[in-house]
Amino acid sequence: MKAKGSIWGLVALATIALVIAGPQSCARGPAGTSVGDIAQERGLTEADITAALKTYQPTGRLDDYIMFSSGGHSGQVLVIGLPSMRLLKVIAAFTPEPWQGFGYGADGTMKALAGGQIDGTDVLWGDTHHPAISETDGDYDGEWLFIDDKANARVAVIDLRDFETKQILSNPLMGSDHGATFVTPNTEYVIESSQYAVPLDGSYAPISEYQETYRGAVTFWKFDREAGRIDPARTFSLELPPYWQDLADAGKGPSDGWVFLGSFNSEMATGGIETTGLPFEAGVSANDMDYLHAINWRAAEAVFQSGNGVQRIQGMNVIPLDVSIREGLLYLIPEPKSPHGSDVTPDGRFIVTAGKLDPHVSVYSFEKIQNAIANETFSGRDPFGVAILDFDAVLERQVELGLGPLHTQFDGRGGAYTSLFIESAVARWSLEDWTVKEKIGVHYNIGHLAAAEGDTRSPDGNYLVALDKWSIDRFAPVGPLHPQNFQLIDITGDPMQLLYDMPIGIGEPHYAQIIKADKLDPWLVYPPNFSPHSMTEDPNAVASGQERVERSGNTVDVYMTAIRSHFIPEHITVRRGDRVRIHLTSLESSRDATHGFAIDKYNINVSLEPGESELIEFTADRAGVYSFYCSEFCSALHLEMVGYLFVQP
Amino acid sequence: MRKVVVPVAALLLLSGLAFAGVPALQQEDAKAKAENWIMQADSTKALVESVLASAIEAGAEDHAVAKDQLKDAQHWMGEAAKTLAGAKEAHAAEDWVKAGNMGNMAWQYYVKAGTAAVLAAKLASEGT
Repeated sequence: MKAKGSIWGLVALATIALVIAGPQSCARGPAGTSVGDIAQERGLTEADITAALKTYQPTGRLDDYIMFSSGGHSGQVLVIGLPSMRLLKVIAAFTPEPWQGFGYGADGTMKALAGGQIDGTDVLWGDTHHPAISETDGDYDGEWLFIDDKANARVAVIDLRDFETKQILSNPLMGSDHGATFVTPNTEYVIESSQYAVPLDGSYAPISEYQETYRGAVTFWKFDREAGRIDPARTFSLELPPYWQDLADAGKGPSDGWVFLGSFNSEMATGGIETTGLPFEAGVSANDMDYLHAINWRAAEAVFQSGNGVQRIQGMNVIPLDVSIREGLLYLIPEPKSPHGSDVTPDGRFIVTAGKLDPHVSVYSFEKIQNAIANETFSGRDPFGVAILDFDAVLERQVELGLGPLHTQFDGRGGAYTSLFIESAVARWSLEDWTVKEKIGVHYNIGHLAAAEGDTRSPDGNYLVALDKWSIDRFAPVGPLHPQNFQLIDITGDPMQLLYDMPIGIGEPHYAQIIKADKLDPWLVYPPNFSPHSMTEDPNAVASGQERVERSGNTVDVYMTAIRSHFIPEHITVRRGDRVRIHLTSLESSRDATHGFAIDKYNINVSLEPGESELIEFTADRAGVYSFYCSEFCSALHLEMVGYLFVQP
Repeated sequence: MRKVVVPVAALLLLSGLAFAGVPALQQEDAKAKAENWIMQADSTKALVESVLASAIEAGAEDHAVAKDQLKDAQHWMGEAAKTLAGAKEAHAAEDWVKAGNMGNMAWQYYVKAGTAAVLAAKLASEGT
């Protein structure tokens, strides 16, 4: 009793001291320092100080924007606050992630990952490329997030109420994807297009039959907002020529109903440097022009719904190429050498493409494209019979920007921003007079860039992040594998100002999207007894006082609760070979009062957020004594939050 | 660590000429294609050499980080030169397909060399 009394006495004194001293101690800096002294001592320029002032967030101040970035090889999605560039969360998508308990026993997460199985085999990594926030009328609505896995042609659905992955789907038609994920303006569909052509039916075919047998495809995954899931039954695909389809963007405003999809390898090169002497890299960039695909998705949807000519290939509804040609669903537009980006302007009137090996961006007019289609102003047809629109008839302008233009974003003030890979720069140019206004150097080899809401109908025009592939000398060396570099740029002024370098040491991110933070409305705790997987109340949730263990044959159901700082029950006894189902419910309702549930040596770890109810199912295949414990530091007596699993031989 | 404007000028040269200079839209004739690639590789070589010179003038040889990029660029220049010589030999032997393939590949090597040279120039001129 004496010791306890002393502790509370100290707490009271400390609290009083904080109340008295707090405001004063906040008002002055450390003794003997001033901003000028610190700047001089650290060799900081006025621009450096300005950058710091524009990005620093005092404790407790929240960021204005949230950036969702692909996590590259990590198979995950990064959530980063702007302007502070603080990493807020890594959302597990295609790869198991222990802290979130994603893929380590929680039934819903196991099922989500199983959705990404390929031919019944777990594929537990992903090469995430392009996140897409759900849109309403062409603007981010902050409700859902989609992300693709290039390596395995998969898409994932993330619920932005709790920032967790709910669904993963594998595309049976594709070996890999790249034009994914992008959404139509009201998120009717999530777009995924293939990258490297393969036979769509999954069969073997020698490379000598490339032109006859290999094909590309674009899939329009139907998103059901009500269910919060993609509905494969209402999903359709278009067979495409075996060019290597690349990035996509959906039309908006006047161009709503269309999708524009870049491609390279119009040469249909088949590589084989070991025999031909000509590697893919040269073969696929031999032609001066490749093809932008213009796809009328609304007309394609009508064809799919009519069933007219639609085939089933590997369980997917596919509109064959000849039907697309006959029904006017697909047109090709020449675009300069080895294109990459395909970006629709905020007003929906123009499509900007960039050829990596051409110094220009090419700007196409949607109105001219429609006129060319109506008047059949074609320069010919490709080997598959797809009409090629006359380049000059649909081109609005070409703007010379510099070396290696890739991707374009917009500021809502008539400004466009294009990444220049070879030049390691961002070019600001005008959609009004088609001239370059300014360039800013980045470090180094920029790929994508993301401006705040910069690919929507109403960009915010304040921040831009350069997603640099190389960092070379920007950070302290950590071995030969260097981090990527995210560089925050202020685009409100003239000139643009580089504000912050953020190392990314988890994979190679590709694209990112930046949304105004107040458009998001994430939950702070789950409602009581809630399943995050169904996003409804869990009928098997366990109420306080209802904890129990029930055996039925070889199945043992454990109804367990967790609250600071104990599990009930703490002793679980089963027999080797039993199927164990732990129905675990958090009785917590306080913000951030998260528990973990880990069982030693059984590869199980679950994150149990306040209100959450989980099912953990496993076979007790090894006899012995195993502790289970709370793996999240939840309280002062966190270490005491423990129990034992006894597995009798 | 001199600040120079030469790299920028060289960049403009590259952007204006090297990648847009040869107006050949899907030529069918193998001989013309080969000659096109050889000409394109030759013109790109000259431009990359100018960027390399700019990088050196900016101090890349003595720059702790830029010298690595300079070395990389020089490596690709060597690969490109060998391949371009092979293309010209094949052209002399009237093996148009081989000449075209090698000329194409030589150009690819020059693009790699140019990319590294631009980085070297950038690093050296920024003086970090």
